[in-house]
Amino acid sequence: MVRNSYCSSKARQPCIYAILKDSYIYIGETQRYVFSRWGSHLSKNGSFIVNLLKIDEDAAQEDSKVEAISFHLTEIEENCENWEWKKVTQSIEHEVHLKIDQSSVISTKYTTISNTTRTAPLHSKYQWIDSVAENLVGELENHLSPRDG
Amino acid sequence: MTENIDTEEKELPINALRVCEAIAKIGYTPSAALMDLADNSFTASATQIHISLSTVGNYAKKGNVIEYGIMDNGSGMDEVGIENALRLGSDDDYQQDSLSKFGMGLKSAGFSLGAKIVVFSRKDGNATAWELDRDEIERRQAYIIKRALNIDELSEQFNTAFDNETSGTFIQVTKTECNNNESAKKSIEKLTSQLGIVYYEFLKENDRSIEVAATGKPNITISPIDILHKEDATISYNSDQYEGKKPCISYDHELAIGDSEDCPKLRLEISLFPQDGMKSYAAFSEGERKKIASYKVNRKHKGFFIYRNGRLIRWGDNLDGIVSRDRIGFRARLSLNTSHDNYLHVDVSKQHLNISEDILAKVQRACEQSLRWHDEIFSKCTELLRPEEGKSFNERNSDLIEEDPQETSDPTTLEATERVNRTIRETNERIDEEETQAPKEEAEPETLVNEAPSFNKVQYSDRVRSGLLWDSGVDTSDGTFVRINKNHEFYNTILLHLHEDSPERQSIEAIIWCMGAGENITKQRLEDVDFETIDKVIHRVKRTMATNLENWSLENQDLYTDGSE
Repeated sequence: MVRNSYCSSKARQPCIYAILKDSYIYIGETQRYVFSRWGSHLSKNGSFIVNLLKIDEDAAQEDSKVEAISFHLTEIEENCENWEWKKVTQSIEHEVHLKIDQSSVISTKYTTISNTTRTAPLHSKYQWIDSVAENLVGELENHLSPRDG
Repeated sequence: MTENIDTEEKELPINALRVCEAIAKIGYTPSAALMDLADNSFTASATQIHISLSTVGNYAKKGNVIEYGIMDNGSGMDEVGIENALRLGSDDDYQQDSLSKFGMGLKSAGFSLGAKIVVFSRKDGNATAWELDRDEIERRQAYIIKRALNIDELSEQFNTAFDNETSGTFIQVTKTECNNNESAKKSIEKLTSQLGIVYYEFLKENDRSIEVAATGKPNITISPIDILHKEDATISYNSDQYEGKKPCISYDHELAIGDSEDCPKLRLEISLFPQDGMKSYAAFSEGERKKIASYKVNRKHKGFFIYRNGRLIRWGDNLDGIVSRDRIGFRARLSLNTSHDNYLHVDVSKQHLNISEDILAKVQRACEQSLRWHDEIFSKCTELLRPEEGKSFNERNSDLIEEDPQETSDPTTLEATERVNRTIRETNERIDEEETQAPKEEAEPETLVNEAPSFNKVQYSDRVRSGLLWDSGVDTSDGTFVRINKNHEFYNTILLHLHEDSPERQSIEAIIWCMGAGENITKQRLEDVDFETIDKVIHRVKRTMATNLENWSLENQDLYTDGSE
């Protein structure tokens, strides 16, 4: 797994990304240009804004800093058939959601506003999904920790 | 004037009787009250607890209990200890892992059972006994306790039960007639079915025991029951290997709560059970069937079992609808301790808690996958217990004729006959090839429904060419059949959730079979276009359709798994 230096992305690559605003965190996945996905999230009808509006209208409308970070899932490219990418990325996305809830570092400071109710695959044949998600959340923790130091 | 009001103080008298009546009615059932009294015994480090119900008349008659007793061999209390225990709002010096909370349990649980509570206790060999009587409180208009006069009788009862132990406590509740409590039979049934689960953490320690007795009935020793049956469970859920026999541990992690990293985490464990109906599944041994029956997979035993300091405080909660009514094979244990009380707002009776939306959202997320696996497990059990897929469609449509709207009679030209033969030949070759490509270690034949000699128009298979929703074939004498791909997401997301007999399932099967028939008829009779081209076009159409349907299925996996089925 390689953390993107903010906006480097190929046209097609499996990515998990996080969008942060105030004390809210949104986790998503994409197989395409990650920054175009971010753009759509921040538009009026984007999932990030819509979800945030539901629970904190002020935070959604406030002109505060929005930060986005993406993780290019090289493990998927190396180990999976092309047609499996989306499903495996969705599995990792779900695991990341669970691990964020278990993380004292992230979970006590950020409220997750995304969910995987509709998209989490029931099964995955790849055992390494758990460790990829674990590493990703670890990276995220490292990235977020200094902000509060 | 205002200044005077600010500084003036008055101590208002408390109507002790009214307070006692109020705390007696906070919602205890007799069995819950007895368990709350037993909490004090565990707090006093008791290893043996004896619960007794003295009855008159019919064992099953309401209001037949004249005396409730809880006896333990705990550390016991001296005079000051008993005085504190009987005070309204005992001193708040509980240990971190204590089962007590507000210092009201003994009085509220005791008064919910009867109007008179006697506390006999022996500490380091010295016995003392005091009583709290609501009639006396009413008569004297004051909250008073009196030294019990029957200390010798209490002492004798204690010695009989605990072989002259030097420490321990005996709580006796009488004057029960005012409460018209449930029958002894009902209380004993509840206690014997619940105590092992409620005090599982305590009872699993070897030297600890609880005994329950009623007048004229044999004593019952309570065994610890792990509500998750982890001892029998597989450590994870593997859909390919699931047999519908054992529970599976689908989640066991700690959730971070609170707004500081120091707040202890909540442990959440989830166990998924097979359907109760599997206890009569003929392929299992008698022992296996009995084991399944012992899991008691029913509505009463589903949901969240919430333990505080190792003691169950909520039985089968659905936690704001996380576990819907029909998820009866879903059980979770949420373990919390005293330090979580303020985050979860545990109430006086320690039976209710108010969990914040934030924590609920985390629990819900943690459960989502397990809830869907639960549904899959139940579907698999249903699959094992009910008719084969496609059976209803095939039975109803055995006489259904394939029709070509552009032909008035069967084709007779040489070209047409060759095309029919070629379709049949290619069908057979394809199936043979798929058989050959199947993993060698899988000795089992393809899981086709039509193992029976009769012909089936709709069949289900896990070896259909990758990517396609169905593969169509032609049988020499019976014509078109389709094999629906059990590895396609549409099967997992939609078909699997529709009962084999349902009109919806049969309608989808009809569409697929008709597509197959259309495909075969086109290949055989569209003589203007060469066979290879038709085959190529059809395959391309099917592949594209299957890919898009797969994507749609992956995006809509919750359609049939939101628990509202």
